[in-house]
This record gives sequence, C-alpha cells and structure tokens, in this order.
Amino acid sequence: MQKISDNDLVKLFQQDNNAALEELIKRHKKSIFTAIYLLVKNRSLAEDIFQESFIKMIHTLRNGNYNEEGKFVAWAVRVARNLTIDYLRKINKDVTITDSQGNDLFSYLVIAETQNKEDKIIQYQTEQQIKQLVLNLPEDQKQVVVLRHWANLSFKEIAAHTGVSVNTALGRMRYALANIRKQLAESKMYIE
Amino acid sequence: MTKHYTTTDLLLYYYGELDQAFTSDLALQLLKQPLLLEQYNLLIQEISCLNIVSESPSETSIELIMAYANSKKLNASLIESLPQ
Repeated sequence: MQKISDNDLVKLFQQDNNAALEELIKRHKKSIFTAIYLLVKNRSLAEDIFQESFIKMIHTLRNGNYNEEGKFVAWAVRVARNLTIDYLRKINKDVTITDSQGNDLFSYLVIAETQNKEDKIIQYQTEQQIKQLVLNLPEDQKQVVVLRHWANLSFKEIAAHTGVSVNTALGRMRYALANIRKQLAESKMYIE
Repeated sequence: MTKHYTTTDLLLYYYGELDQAFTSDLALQLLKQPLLLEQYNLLIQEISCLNIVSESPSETSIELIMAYANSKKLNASLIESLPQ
C-alpha cells in the first residue's frame, strides 16, 4: 500500500476495498487530527470531529460525489475543518454560560488559562511548550498556521477559505512565527 | 538588477509556493548572500519547531471509522443479495 498514491487509494476504496481507506487514515491521521485538536483545544471533542469527518468522507466517496482533482489530504482537511468551524459556531451561538451578574463564565476560563500559561511552560517538555504557544496564538494567526503547516493547504487555498487576501494570510503566518519565537525566547529565560 | 527577497518570499519558498520564475534565482541568492541565508535559516528554525507538535487520534476512533465503513459495505451487499 505504501507506494500507491492517495488518489489510487481513493479509487480502490470506491471499489469496496476498505483496506485502502485504512491506509488513507494511517497516512493522514496525524495531520488531520492535529489540525482539529489545535482548533478545538479538546481531545475528546477532536476525536468526535475526526470520526464524524471520516464518516462524511466515506459517504461522499461511496456516493461517487468526490471529484477532487487536487490532493486527498487537502479535501479531507477541508471536511474536518468545516465540521470544526460548524462546531465552534454552534458553541458561540448556543452555549453562553453566565454568572449571576450576567458575565460570561468562559471569559474567566480564558483568564485562568492565561494565568497558568507560564507555569505550563516551566513544567512541560518541548512539545507541550510549543503546542501551548500555537494554541495561544490569536485565532486568525493560529488558523493560518494550522491550515498551512498541518493541514497542508496552500496560502492561496487558505486565503480562499478564510476570506482574506493571500498577502493577509502570509502576514498572519509571519506574525504567528514571530510570536512563537518571541514567546520561546521568553520561556527559555524561565527554564534557565 | 538583483531582486530584493523579503521574509514573505522566503516563507513561500520554504513551502514550495514561490513563483517558479523566482525559485531558482532565490536558491542562487541564498548561496551568494550570507545575510539572506541567515534569515532563511532562522525561518526554518521557527517553522521546524512546529514539527514537534503532533497529535494522534486514539485507536478506538480509527476502529469505529473502520467498523462504520465495514457495516455500510455489509448493508450494501445484503441489499444487493435481496431478491428483486
């Protein structure tokens, strides 16, 4: 299976070869799951969205509605990304938990997370530190980093999906990298 | 006249998205200009640290997806085997 291209695996799966689907999952599970996880910040939820994404893909592939000329992984990530965004929109719209003063409790959680950030940098190993830095990026920057680096979408595709110009997408990536570099430099001071 | 390459150009070059017309020239300039090379190495360092971050779904998730795919296949063959 290793030498077969993604597109050939898709064709094999459409001919009822489920081993081809298993190979596609094996090849791309990390990039797709990492992209989802970094956007929703919750493992259990990321698992649900990951499963739902593949179920949706299975339907599309089996019904013969897949006509992607480009890369399978770009399409797969787009399916996962759309489900993730649907979920995030639903949360923003439907789930508003307020205290007795009418303040959104989620705002307290955000503050708590920020307060813990420095402790986490000290305690965590390199992977945990960098993951946290990515998670803490402003949403617009994080989205570009995740879609470009893990989801393997081109800057042009990212621009089209997020409704901004290619230059804006590139600018956000540069700011994100600069942010990560700055925070890494700061965290090293604490580690030393 | 030599084109002045920006960090954005280097970023596009790293991800293989720089205009083909400039790709070879930038590669050449990286060999000729130590400061540009230093800038590119810094960018690679920044991007490389992202590679450390990798998450995997649980085996259960994959088993559930495969079970779903297999059950759908089974249903389809059952429907096909029904007398017309």
